[in-house]
Amino acid sequence: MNPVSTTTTAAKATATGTSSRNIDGVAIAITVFSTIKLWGRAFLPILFAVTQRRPALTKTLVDLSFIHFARWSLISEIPWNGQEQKKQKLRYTHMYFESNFNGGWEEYIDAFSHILTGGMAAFWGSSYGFPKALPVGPFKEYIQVNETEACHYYSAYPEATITMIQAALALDDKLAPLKRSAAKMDPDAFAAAYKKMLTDAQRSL
Amino acid sequence: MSDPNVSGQAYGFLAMMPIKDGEVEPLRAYLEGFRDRGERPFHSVPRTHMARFVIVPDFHNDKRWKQRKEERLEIPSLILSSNLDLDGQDLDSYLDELAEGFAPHVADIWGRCIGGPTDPQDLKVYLKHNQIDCGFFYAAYGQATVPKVKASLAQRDKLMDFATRTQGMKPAALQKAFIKEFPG
Repeated sequence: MNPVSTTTTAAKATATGTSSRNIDGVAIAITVFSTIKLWGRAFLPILFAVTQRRPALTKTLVDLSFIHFARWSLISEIPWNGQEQKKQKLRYTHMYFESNFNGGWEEYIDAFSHILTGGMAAFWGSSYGFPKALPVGPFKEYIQVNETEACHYYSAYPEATITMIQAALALDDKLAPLKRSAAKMDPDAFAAAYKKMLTDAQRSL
Repeated sequence: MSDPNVSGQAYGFLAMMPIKDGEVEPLRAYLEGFRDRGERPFHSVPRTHMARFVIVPDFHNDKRWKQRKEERLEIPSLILSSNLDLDGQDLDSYLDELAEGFAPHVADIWGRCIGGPTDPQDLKVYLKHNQIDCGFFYAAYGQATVPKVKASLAQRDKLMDFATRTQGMKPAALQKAFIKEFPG
């Protein structure tokens, strides 16, 4: 192993409201562990399955347009890796939540609280200490207490917001037909089609 | 039943691995040092959209939460989380690519975990053994691969530039320039 310093430095909080270690470009990581009450062990798998099967339930997440990827995982046992690891039987199930978003930490939590109030109650209502999504002050404090800072965070396209990505993908769909047909058109027809494409794609530019 | 780790063609991988006694801070320093050293090892694993390493020192307990009993995480753990492209392939092939991309770092990262490999060839088996499934995985553009996202972003920039440059151009010249810059 390479020699490394054992001194760790606390990462600076940034204008985005989170540690610089949770940031890569405009992408921000949030990682939260919470401990689940007994009823949540039965309820959450059902909630996850229903949410996965009904995309309409995540429409608000799509509309919010600042979350790239998010996940919820339940941990009810710790994988065992041999004699060196003392086996730990968990008394509680724990929930791992992560999100990859852009914007500011404060705005992210505000949006979650105000717009996804019901969803928040469903996903975190069985977590010990969850204070309800509103008012937002206690909720922010709860997230801060349960949040764990990343040691290393990576985005393959760190300067791209989700709005930019969705616009770029939508533009690709609009541009593709013109790219295919441009060479077969007469110049005036092409100019008209190009102008129409730009008009149609205005929101994606 | 559909795979809860999958959304579109995107896959949410998560592994939680116990860290050897006395190795938490050296491991933390090594991982945090990537940025200081200007290294982006996930860049060598091109199917990765977004990924993170997190060290979990303990579970959170608070007397105010009225939890019947405290629960401590007896061994601090390393989390590796990756949002990746399947794109017609499987998780194994991604973990092979991860092992190859992280080859210079395997001993420094997973060698500090209990039962963890120092040889990249053993990494895939170790990660799969310690994988934790998603309950629910959300991907905003789960159909788009990393190359597709990057190409679309570049094309959008290019079109905005093109539209500015070609304002007022005659149809024939515009068509010729478009075909040259945006081949079908």
